[in-house]
Amino acid sequence: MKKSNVPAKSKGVLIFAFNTDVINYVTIAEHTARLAQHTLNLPVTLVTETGTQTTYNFDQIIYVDNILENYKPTKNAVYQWRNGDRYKAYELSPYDETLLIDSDYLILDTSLLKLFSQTFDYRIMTYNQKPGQAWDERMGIYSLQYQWATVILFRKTVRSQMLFELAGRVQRNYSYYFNLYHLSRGTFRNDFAFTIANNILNGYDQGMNQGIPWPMLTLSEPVDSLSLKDRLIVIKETDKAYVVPRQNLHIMNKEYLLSDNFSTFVEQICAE
Amino acid sequence: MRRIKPHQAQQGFVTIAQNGQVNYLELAYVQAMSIKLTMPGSQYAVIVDADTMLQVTNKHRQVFDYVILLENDLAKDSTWKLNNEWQIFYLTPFKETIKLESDIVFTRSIAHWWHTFRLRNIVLSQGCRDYLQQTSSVRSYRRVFDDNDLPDIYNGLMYFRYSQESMNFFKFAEQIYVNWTYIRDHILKNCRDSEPTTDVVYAVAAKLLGVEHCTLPSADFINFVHMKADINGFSKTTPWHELVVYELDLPMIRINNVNQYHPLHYYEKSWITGDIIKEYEDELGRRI
Repeated sequence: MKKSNVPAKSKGVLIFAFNTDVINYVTIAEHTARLAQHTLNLPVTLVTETGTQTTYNFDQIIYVDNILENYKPTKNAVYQWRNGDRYKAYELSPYDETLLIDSDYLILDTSLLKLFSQTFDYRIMTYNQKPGQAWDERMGIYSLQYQWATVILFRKTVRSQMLFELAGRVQRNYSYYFNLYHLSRGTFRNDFAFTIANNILNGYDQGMNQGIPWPMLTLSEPVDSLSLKDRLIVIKETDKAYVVPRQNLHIMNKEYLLSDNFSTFVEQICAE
Repeated sequence: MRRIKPHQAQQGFVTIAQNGQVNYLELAYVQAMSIKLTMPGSQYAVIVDADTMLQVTNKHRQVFDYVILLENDLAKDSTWKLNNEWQIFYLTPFKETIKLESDIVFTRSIAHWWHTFRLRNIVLSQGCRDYLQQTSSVRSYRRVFDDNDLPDIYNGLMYFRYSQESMNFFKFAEQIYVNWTYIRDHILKNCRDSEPTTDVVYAVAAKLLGVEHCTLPSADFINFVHMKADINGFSKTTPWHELVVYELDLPMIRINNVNQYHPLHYYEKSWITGDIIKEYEDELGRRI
C-alpha cells in the first residue's frame, strides 16, 4: 500500500487548572493528566497561571494571566472559582485535534478516542447522569437545558473557532446573555457559555446539539473511595455504594481528588 | 345545509374570524401574511360574520384571496364563537382545504404536507409540541380526552377534501354541537364544558367516523407548537411573551432562543400587536 504524504494530525489532551485559596486544582490536574495519558496514550498540555509549580511531566505547560475570578456557592460555603477564559482553548491548544477536559474529569476508558474517528468540528458533552438517575438541568427555570464544557472535543476548523469565539463573547458580555437566556445564576459558568455559543452557532436549532452521544457519569456527592474490580468501578460515598461499568467519571468533590485515597486509585490504574 | 357556491380553486388555507372581545380578523391577517411569506402562491380564505365583514379593509383584501360571509351565524350569542366550525365544509372555496385556527402562524413552508394529507379525505393533526419542538407529553389540558379514550387530535390544523367522508365528519360535528348538552351529560365522562369546544367535538366526530379514517399516526410531523403554559413549563399567570424573549426574523420566529420550525399556535392573542403586524407587512412588502 502506498504511504500517504499527508502528515498525521497531532492529537492531545488539554486541561485548564488554576489554583484557588482553598483548592489545588493543579495537583488534581496532574492526577487527571496521568490517567488520560495512561488510558489514551496521548500527550497532555496544561494551561495554568504564570509561576505555578508542577511535578508532572506535561507535554507542554502554557502560562496565562488575568484569569476571571468567580465565587461559587455550595451547600456549606462560598468558594473562589477561577473558571474563566476557557474559550482561549482553541488558540492555546498545540494540537490539531484536542480533547479539552476539566481537571475533575477522570479518563478511565478509550471511548473519547474512538469518537475522533468520526467527522465533526466539535463535540460537547450533552447528556449527564448521576448513578441511577438522569441529570438534565436547565440554565434557569425558563431557560434551555445546558451542555457540559467538562468535555469538549474539537478540531482546528473555522466552525470550532467560531464556537470558542462565541463562548468568549458570552463571557465578556455575561450580564447580557444572563438576561437573554434567563440564566438562574449570576456566576459565570463555562457550561452556560458553551451551551449558548453552541445554540447560536447551530442557528438556534435545538435539534442540532453537536453532542457526544453517550451520557457522562457525574458523582456530585462526597466520595470516600474508588476502586477497580475487573471491568467494574466500585464507588463508595458516605452512605451509599455503586458498582458501575468502567467508564470516565466526573467527580465534583474536590476533597476526594486531593486525598491519598485518590492518589492510590491513580497508582492502581497506571500500574495496569 | 348545502354548498351554495361552486369551489373556486383546488386548494388553500381557511380560517373563521368572528370578532368579539378578540380581533380575530387581525389574527387572520397576520396568519395570511405568514402563509404568503412562507408559501408564496398559496391561497387564503377567511370566513367572517356580518359585523366582522364591515371591518375588512383594503389592507386585508390585499392578502385575503377570499373573504366569505358567514350567513348562518350560529354563534351570535356566544362570546367564544365556536359553533360555526362545522360550516366550514360548506363555505370553503377550495376543493382541498387546510383549516386553521386564526392564532397560528407559519415560519416555513408546509407545502409538502399536502401530499401526505392526500392519503385521507380528512386528516386531523394529532398531539402537539412545546417550543423546544419536542412532542408534548403534558396531559393537563386533555383529561376529557383521556377519560373518554378520545383521539388526541387538535382542530387548530386540519385537512379535508370535498368528499362524502368529509361531509359525514362535519355532519357528525354539527350534530354534536346541536346535541351538546345530551352528549356531555350522557355520553362523555367527566366533561363539564358548558359550551362545546371544537377539539372535543372533532374528537367525538372522529370516533364516530372511525379514528383510522381521519388521522395519520405515522405522519407524526403533522402538528404544531402549542404555547399554552403547561405544555411549555411556563407560569400560567404571565403570558409567555412577557416571560421569555422572542425575536422576529420573519418568517422565522425565535422563542427563548429556539427557532420555531413547526407551525406556531401562539395562543396568547395579546402577542399580536401593531408592531408585529407592521413587521409582517414590511417583510411581505419587501418580498412582493
